[in-house]
Amino acid sequence: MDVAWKYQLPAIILSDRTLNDDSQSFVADEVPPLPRLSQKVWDGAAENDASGPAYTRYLTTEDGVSPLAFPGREGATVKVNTYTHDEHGISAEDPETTVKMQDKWARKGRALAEELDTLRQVNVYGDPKSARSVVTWGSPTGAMREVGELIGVRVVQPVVLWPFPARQLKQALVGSARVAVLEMNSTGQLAGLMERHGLNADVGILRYDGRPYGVGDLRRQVEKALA
Amino acid sequence: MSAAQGKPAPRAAAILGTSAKNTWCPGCGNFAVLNALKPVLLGLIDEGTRREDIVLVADIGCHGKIMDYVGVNTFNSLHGRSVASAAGIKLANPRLKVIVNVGDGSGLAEGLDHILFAAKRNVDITVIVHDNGVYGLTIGQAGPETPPGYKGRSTPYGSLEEPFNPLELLHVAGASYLARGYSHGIPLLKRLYKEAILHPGFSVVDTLQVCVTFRNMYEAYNDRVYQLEGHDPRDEAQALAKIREWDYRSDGPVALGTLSVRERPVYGEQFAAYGVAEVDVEAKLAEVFASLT
Repeated sequence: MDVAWKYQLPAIILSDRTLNDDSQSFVADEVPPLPRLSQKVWDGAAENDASGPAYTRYLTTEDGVSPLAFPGREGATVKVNTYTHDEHGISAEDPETTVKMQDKWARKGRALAEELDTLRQVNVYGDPKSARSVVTWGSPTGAMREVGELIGVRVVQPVVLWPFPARQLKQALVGSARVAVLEMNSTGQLAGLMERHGLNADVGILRYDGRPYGVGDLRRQVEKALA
Repeated sequence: MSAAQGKPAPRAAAILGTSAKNTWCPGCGNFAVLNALKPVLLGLIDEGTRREDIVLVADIGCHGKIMDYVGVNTFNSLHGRSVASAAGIKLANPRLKVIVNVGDGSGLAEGLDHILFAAKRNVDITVIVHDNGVYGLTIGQAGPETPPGYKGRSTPYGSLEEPFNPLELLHVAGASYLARGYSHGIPLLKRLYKEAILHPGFSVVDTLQVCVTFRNMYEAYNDRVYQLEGHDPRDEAQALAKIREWDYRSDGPVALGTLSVRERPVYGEQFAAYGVAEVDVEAKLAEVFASLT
């Protein structure tokens, strides 16, 4: 949430029915507090004058993030525009403004990726030293963690898929001789994303019959895939 | 802000303008909407509404350009979703005056479900429909209010479909204020827009807004429109009869004015019954900002 607010972006949280219908116990006090990110909020210092409105919704900045204000804020005219626009939120069609704003989006994308890289985006479970690795995401992760501990396999779980955490994922897989990607879909979506970033898995474990994995069942599949 | 620091607040008129160049076609009916809405907003500001508390919401279409031409808060929503965005904005901060501009395309085709549900809930927002019976921005396709026989880019042999009566549909859905205006009549539009904005609950002004380029109806409308006199919009039977008088396809007389007014609970006011205390929005915003910084 902090990241979404800081970069003023919609964040999409992927889930599935297994996770949504599932319940687990945990000790609330043992959940480590998340780091708080500083936010860029309009300081309200400037005033409207002859040169134009003081608040500039899409002010050009180094990291592409413009200070935030909501409608109702004293002195602010907040113009939110989904068409290509200038700094004030007025629609624009001239090539110079279009390029300038596209470059601003790109800077924001880079700043976002850099910030995310300072946070933990990839979890490692099971036996972190094992040369046999299973990369997985979403609902099979719980069963896979148990399997990893049972048979001594490295379990790698990216928790951010875009911007793709390529550096952290590569690091988590260092020393892996054989990599399987376990996914609950028929096309190998994560394996495809990994390929785009030069991470080629050896084998996919795909399940798409609408049923979740149990530990015994999954263990047999993993042993077969990593053999 | 300025007053507190001993400086006079800039005259609202000076800041309701923007740097944008107007790109509507010469003769476009949207000029009438703009030239009626701006004085209404200035009037509200003169009567004590903060300029910062006005939000115009619109989406895709020639109507949407109005956001560039008025110096107040604006939110450019996805095609057809402006009523849903506006309802959210109003619920988040009930102090805001939220005015939506839609075309008959975006408001009554892509966004039909949103406008019906806003009417059903009686959300306290105003919707101005720029109703020209054609998709003008995309240069002349048939839309929900296009009559049969219309030849345009998407219907080269003439449209086969009948338009529906949007006011009748909205009346059934529960809209608590319904009016019809015409882009050839700014004084009436001003009265209707102001009434609609001040009406507590969901209000719609269907504005027969002529697209001179792709569907010029000025002559046809001039022959048929008349202003309501002696009509009681609070009388359900009279209201429904006047709403049904013109079905948006025949040549019958077209009534202009306030068609229907109902008193209904406003969506959001009932939240108090669930133990939600009235929120000091300014203080709450300051708190949110402080937690974010």
